[in-house]
Amino acid sequence: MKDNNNILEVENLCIHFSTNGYEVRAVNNVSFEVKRGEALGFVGESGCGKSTTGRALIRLLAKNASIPNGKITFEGKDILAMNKKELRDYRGNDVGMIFQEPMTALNPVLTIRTQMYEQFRGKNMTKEEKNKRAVELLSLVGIPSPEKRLDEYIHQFSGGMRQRAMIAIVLAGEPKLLIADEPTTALDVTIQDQIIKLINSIRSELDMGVLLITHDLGVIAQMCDRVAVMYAGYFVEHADTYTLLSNPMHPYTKGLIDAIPNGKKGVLKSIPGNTPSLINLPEGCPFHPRCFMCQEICTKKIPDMVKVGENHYSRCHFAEKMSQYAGVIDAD
Amino acid sequence: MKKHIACCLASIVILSLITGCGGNNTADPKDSSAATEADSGNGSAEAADTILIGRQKDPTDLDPTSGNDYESTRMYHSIIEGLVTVDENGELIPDLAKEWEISDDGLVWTFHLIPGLKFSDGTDVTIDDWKFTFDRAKNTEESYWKYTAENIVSVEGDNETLTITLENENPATLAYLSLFNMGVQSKAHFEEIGSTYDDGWPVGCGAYYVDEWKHDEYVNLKANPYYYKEGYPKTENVKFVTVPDDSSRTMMLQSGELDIATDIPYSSAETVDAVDGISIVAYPSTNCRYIVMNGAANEALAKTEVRQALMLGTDFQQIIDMSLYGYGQITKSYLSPMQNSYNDDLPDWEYDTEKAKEALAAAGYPNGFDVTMTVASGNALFEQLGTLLQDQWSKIGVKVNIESLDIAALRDKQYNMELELLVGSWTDDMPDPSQLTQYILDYDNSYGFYTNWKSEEANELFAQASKEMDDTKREALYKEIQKICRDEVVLPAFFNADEIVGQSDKITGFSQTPYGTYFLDEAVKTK
Amino acid sequence: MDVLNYLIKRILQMIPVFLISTIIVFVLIRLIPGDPARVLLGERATQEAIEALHVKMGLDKSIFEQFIIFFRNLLKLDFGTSLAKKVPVSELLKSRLSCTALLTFVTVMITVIISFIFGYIAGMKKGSVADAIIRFFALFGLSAPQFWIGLVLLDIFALKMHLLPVSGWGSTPVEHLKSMILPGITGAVYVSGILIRNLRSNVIDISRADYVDFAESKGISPIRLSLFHVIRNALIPATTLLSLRIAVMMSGSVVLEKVFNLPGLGALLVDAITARDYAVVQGVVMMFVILVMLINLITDILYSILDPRVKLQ
Repeated sequence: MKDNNNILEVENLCIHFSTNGYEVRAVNNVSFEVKRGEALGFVGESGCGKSTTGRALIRLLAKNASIPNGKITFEGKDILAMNKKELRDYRGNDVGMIFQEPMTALNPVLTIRTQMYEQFRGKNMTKEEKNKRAVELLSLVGIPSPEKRLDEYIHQFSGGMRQRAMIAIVLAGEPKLLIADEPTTALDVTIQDQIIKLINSIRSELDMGVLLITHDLGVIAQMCDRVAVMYAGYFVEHADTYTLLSNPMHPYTKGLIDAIPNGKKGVLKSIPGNTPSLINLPEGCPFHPRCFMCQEICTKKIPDMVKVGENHYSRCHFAEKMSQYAGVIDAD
Repeated sequence: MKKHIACCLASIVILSLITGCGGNNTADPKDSSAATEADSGNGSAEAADTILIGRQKDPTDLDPTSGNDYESTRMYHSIIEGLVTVDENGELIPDLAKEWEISDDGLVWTFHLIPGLKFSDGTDVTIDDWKFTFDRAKNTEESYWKYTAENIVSVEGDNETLTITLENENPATLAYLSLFNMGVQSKAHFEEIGSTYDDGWPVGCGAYYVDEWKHDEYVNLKANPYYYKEGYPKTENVKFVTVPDDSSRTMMLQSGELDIATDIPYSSAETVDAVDGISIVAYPSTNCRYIVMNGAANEALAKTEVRQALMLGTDFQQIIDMSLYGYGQITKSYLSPMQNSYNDDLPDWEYDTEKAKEALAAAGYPNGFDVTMTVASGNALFEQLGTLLQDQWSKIGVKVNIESLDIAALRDKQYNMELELLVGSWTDDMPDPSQLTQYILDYDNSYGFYTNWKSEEANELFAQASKEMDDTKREALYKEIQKICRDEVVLPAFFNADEIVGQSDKITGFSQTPYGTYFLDEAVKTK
Repeated sequence: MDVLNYLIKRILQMIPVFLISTIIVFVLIRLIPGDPARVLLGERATQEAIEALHVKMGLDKSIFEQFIIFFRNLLKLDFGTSLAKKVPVSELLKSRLSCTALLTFVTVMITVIISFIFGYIAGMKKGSVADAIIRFFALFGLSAPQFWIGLVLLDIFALKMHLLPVSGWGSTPVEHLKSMILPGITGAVYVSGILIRNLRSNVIDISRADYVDFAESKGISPIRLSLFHVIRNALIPATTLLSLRIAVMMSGSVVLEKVFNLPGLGALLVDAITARDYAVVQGVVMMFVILVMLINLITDILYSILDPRVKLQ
């Protein structure tokens, strides 16, 4: 795992929130790494902890969050041990984050230019240089008439342009890792496609790592080299995208894949049951109440993350049994 | 673009504030050597040059012909002096006229003036100025004081002698001549200012002249360099500051920002007096407040017997104790005891609630009656008087409802004789009983001082008294008039009040007459 | 050029408002009982004197005739003369306005400093002891009667410590300013009460906003974050609130003016109504109407500058 190509390494990260006297275990023992130029996806239902994990990487968690355990290393730097100044240098320059809804993520009363120039702090650029770079960035993300648009406000941009603008602003920091938190969720399908293509092209052009957080397997398929499936704060499966989609080794993953509408008529297949309360996780495997393969051991013991193939891990007592489902997508 | 507009707007707003805030800087640079009241307020070193007097209201009119309100009339003597004046005891004394002779028929008065009189602007006082003054006093249509000059037929003479010819003999002549509208004013100055003084002021021979009048803020008087009394006035500047709020005024006195403060509420007198360095001085005054009972608006009040009964139920001493805190006395007549011809022989007021109830029953009101008392809103003293009456008369079965009206509405109703019971006020301006008596008896103008009372007998006596040159006989006539008013219970007074003034102990030589006129020429403020 | 069009449009809209309000005041003040001549000349005035004054004041004519005369003079920018004080109304208005304007200015300066700082702190430290203390003082400022606060301040700073004048506003600009400090603080206490609460709730809402998170994720300095993202946005509703309060303050505060003996517009209006000084009442009200309309206009423009999402229409 320790690889010089890794820009980001996360080990056994646990994140808890305390609300109203309760302890919410939002993220449990999550470990992963992202290589330079690589796109890793987190997929899962709402509340599974994927956004929380992403935010933890830049320590942008709410005040009632705590990290009882875990280590985050970026290019050798220990993120959790950083002081405020180091953290500020790290944010924006090493890692940048794209938010889901650009309309609310950008300050409505400041121009795009102002918000982009904020990323140029500490870079010793003259006014002309800043302007030139800003124009370049807007062009890079495909916004026409960039000189004019720099002095506009976010509400003057249309749907897809807004997301592009936000991406341009984040890129202005020249981050080595881009965290994209549901970047396409708020967009309609055609625009979604454009943004996906945009991020892909930027990634290869700039050799940037990408951490994509989404609930949409389709987007994962289009963008990610590797993907991790999260459930109730745990990683349940972790593999390169093609392998995961063609050979899921965890019942939850299979459930997700089956749930994708495939154009055939009939009832949409969904996973029975509901996501568990993170305050009161069931004993044993968090997925067991909904799992079609559930056995007694599942109710008692949390499965460990087990290697089930080349770079393929699953957290299931009966992972091997899943191979019988390889390549088969449940019809009817 | 928007940013430019923002800057423009901001600059416009700020600029207008700054230019607007120039305020009225008419202060002469050399005036700044005289202390102003906004000094550190501890009576700084130059303060001996200026005496600061705080009052409740601004004077309305510095023109002695038209000025009618107390704040204005009290100031005239400081800037204008005439043939005779009144001393602090209220007695007539010579002023600009050293002595005079009266012809046998009483119609020609020859006054010998102090020689070499000059106005405060340095010009000589000439016979033309005297003629102008008397002419104006007599012929200004709107002048309330016109009647005092109507008897004058002609004014002749030269700069040292003045001969005034009257139409009829009038015992009040000297009293009239002591009034401020008869004080000599500069004709040249009047012509220079325009057809009236409007918001200007006259130039006279008083100890001071008006240097500046900032409306609702202050009137600044400066010592007349040509004053005929050598070595007077003793203080260079006197500034009358207008401070409407009672507590502010008292505070300024305490902090040293005022040297003298008038219109101190009687209820605060003790507290103010207790402050180190400040004393309350009580000046006797002709100031009376009356229980005005209007028979036209309330039929019970029209009956003399009822009014008599009400007086039996009125405890005047309690009223004085509670509202004046002892700074006043009972008066038995409509005249104040300070005025000439006051009838001291009149009986004291009796207070007997049982007798009062019997008298009411005998008058036809065994169960009492209701009456509405109207006071001007905001006048704490009047409201207190109302409450006291309400309380006292409730014991004899008379229910007083107090209604508060704003002053303008009140005056309207008062003039239309719609008010049943109200507080009347009067301060004499001259040492003669005719001023008030004439007002009461002039039914067409004052409706009997709003009581709806008239008396042929009283009018006849008054007509006689107006021609009676013998002092003793005249006094007897006035005493009779007072007796009639007393018998018929016309204008019983709540009290004759002293005027209390808060003075810094550093002030000596300040006084005022029972008519309210200030004597400033001897006033000194020690450092 | 939209802005110019907008300005013109607004100014044109002001004209009918001004005219109608002028007419209403003109008629109303003459309809209430009370005769200005009688108030001016006093109780003892003779009937002839009163009638003579009526003629001089033009009150012997019908209301309609009086209005025509008034309007003709208005067009010549002649606002008439004060009956009680005998000076031109325009002079009175000018000097009173400068006093009230200075008081408003000082009050606003103090208010801005107090409320923007404490509103921000209370919002950022929501739930803390500091927040509770600040909210308590804001509530106190709103509820405590101004005359009481004024008198207490006077007692301490003017009477006992002799630092500032007890009353009046002096005759030089320096004195003017000195005399505005205590009344300015008194007025500011009340307005700050309003603004602190508003700013606090704005700051609370904004600090939860996505764009604050995003800005933070860019690693900008905390000062920049506070200033440009939190405060900058929190200011917007607070500024409009303040502008409207300024309009109220410019109409003069009778309480402050009476307690501190300041020759301002509030006292002028109240005194003029009491004395039925028609020309002054008219002049003051007309001026208020214009001032309020202007301040509203400036507020609207200011708002559109502060918040680019708002278009002037």
